[in-house]
Amino acid sequence: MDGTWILTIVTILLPLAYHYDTIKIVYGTIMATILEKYYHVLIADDEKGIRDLLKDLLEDSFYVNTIDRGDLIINELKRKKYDILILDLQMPGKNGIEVLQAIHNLKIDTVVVVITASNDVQLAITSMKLGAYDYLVKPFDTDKLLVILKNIVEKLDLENEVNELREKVGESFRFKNIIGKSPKMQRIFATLERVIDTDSTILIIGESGTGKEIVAKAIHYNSNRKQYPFKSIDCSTIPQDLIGSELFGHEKGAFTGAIARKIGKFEIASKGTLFLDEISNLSFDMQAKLLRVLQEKEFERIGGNEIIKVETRIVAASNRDIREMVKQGTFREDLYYRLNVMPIYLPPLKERKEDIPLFIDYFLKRFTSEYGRTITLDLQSRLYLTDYHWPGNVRQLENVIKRLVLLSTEDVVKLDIVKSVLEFEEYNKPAVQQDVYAAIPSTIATAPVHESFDNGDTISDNDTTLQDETVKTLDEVEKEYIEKMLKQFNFNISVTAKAINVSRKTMHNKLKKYNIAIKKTVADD
Amino acid sequence: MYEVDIIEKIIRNIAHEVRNPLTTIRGYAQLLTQKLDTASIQKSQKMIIEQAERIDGMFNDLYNAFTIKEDIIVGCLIPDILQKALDASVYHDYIIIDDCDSFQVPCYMNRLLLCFNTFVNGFNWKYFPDARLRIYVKKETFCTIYFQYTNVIFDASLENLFFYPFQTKHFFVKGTELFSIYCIANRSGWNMDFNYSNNTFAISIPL
Repeated sequence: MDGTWILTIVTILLPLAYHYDTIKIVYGTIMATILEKYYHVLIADDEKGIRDLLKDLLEDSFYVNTIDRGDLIINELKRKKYDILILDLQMPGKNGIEVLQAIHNLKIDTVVVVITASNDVQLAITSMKLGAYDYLVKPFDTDKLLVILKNIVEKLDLENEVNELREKVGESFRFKNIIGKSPKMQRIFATLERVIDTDSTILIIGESGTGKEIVAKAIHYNSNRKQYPFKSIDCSTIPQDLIGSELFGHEKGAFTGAIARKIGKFEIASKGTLFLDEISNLSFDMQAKLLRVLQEKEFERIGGNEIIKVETRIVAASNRDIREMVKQGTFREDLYYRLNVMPIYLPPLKERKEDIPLFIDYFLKRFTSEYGRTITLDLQSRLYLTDYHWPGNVRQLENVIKRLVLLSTEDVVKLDIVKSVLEFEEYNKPAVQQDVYAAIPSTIATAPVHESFDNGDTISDNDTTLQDETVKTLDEVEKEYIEKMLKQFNFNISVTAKAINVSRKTMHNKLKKYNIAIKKTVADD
Repeated sequence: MYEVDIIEKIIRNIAHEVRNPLTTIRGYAQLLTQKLDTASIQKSQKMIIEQAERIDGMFNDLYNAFTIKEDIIVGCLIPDILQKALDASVYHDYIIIDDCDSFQVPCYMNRLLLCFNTFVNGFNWKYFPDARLRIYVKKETFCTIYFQYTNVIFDASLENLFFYPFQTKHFFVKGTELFSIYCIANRSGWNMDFNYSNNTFAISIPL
């Protein structure tokens, strides 16, 4: 009988010897890819030969541990984190299917590769249904196993990268990293800490530019939902016809132009957080739909019949007094109470002056690093900025510091420069919106603006400039504005473009469009 | 059960079992082309030879199970034969001979002794150190010898376990032990049964 088995072994070895070079290259390539990172692998097989083989094969690239009984696997997985489990289906104590079931039920985070001497297809299907990543029938080609492991390593690398990025993003939104040392902000953080891990809806109320979205992100990234998506939607910028599709998605053919199924933000952020900015701008119809989702935690895509269940947490924000809107009948009372479970009032910057120096330092550091400048502010400038009333809140402060960094010709910014930039801000009051149209000088759009909660974000009903039929066209206004700004910055195209927040290319296009001549004798750019 | 069904089960079980050492042989053969240091080469060679010998051993065990030694029928006192098997075993502390009717039974004494030895020594006592074997004999229409393993539960999936020799591998040292006892019983005109409810094997010898 010995002779027969020697012949069998020679039959196996000969073709392997023939393909020696190919095998070596495959092995080398695969191992080189895997070698870059070390993961933990648990080999579970009652066969000592196979445990030894896999250990010898993998220990250069992984931390390898072995186990010979099925009933010990779960405890070992609980005791120590293993990224990959190579699992034999037939083991004493507990068979592989039972182990897979337990891993599935206990939600143990490990990638399972099943190895078995049985070629029963049903067993393979059951294993895959229970979450096995792949399935190999003995006697398997070790190169196949290496390819599977390489794919798993790539998958784990990607997952790790995503987690690291998520962590990094989350880190910047940790409460401790959000600027706000003032007692008012500290009280807000303390309140949020208490409700952060609950599913309760949070309504953030605050003037434009107070950092409502940052607080919404902080709520998400500090909560136990942080590994799931954070999605935001600005209800004021999306046309009411499209907002339903944005929120709930639509099926293919649901309406003209619906050429493919679209998944809505509610669905994407299921288990995560959905930030509804400027919720007061939602139409009455949409408010009713939103209320239903908040109550039932389910909805249908537009044009669809399938009921989609979601666990999305809602954080809503408004710069308007929703209570007043409820009184006026423009906002649903039931929705207001549903949203107002945990109201947060973000104070304007002028009410937390102790935070202003912190913001100044933060933005200075950020923009000097971004633009490669070394700029500081002298004491008088700092005091002046701290004392300023900041109608555009943090966003305005950010823009002012950005301008100072860009425009300053000296390393230490003096008070006169600060004053001129702030005068420019006053002159261009709506400039806080970071938009070339929004920065239209008040001499052109002189209408009074509501001194209400929204602080100038909406155009007044009494805006005679817009109602007047003899009003200048938008192009004329824009041309006039660009000419004025160019003049102010000595016809330096780059600086003017930065100051009005458009690219140089756009600036050149505008100059060409409006036939604006550059009067400067020596062009800086 | 039809003979062809029995053959199918045995072949399937052997094929299943032989794939394990074949995997090791194939794997180390592949590793021989990749890890070229002396220690690795020696380890690969050693593993390949070991596993080849293991396959050889498996087939030898199966072959021996089929090859029943010649024997003659003599009058046997069952408790005496049991005691003889026990005296020769290192595992006698695990075994309890209980409630034995003592009477002469005409049977193949050496084959019976081989069966006893296999039950006593073939069980995997190292793997199940808490297990015990209780043996008792009843005189009914047949002389029935019962082998009851306690503190161990045989997997209910081991249906027809006599025809899946290697499926019992963890309960018995080689896995072929029950198959071997079954073959001896079958060739000697004895009945062999297993009762899952009480983990008891029974060999019935006609009187």
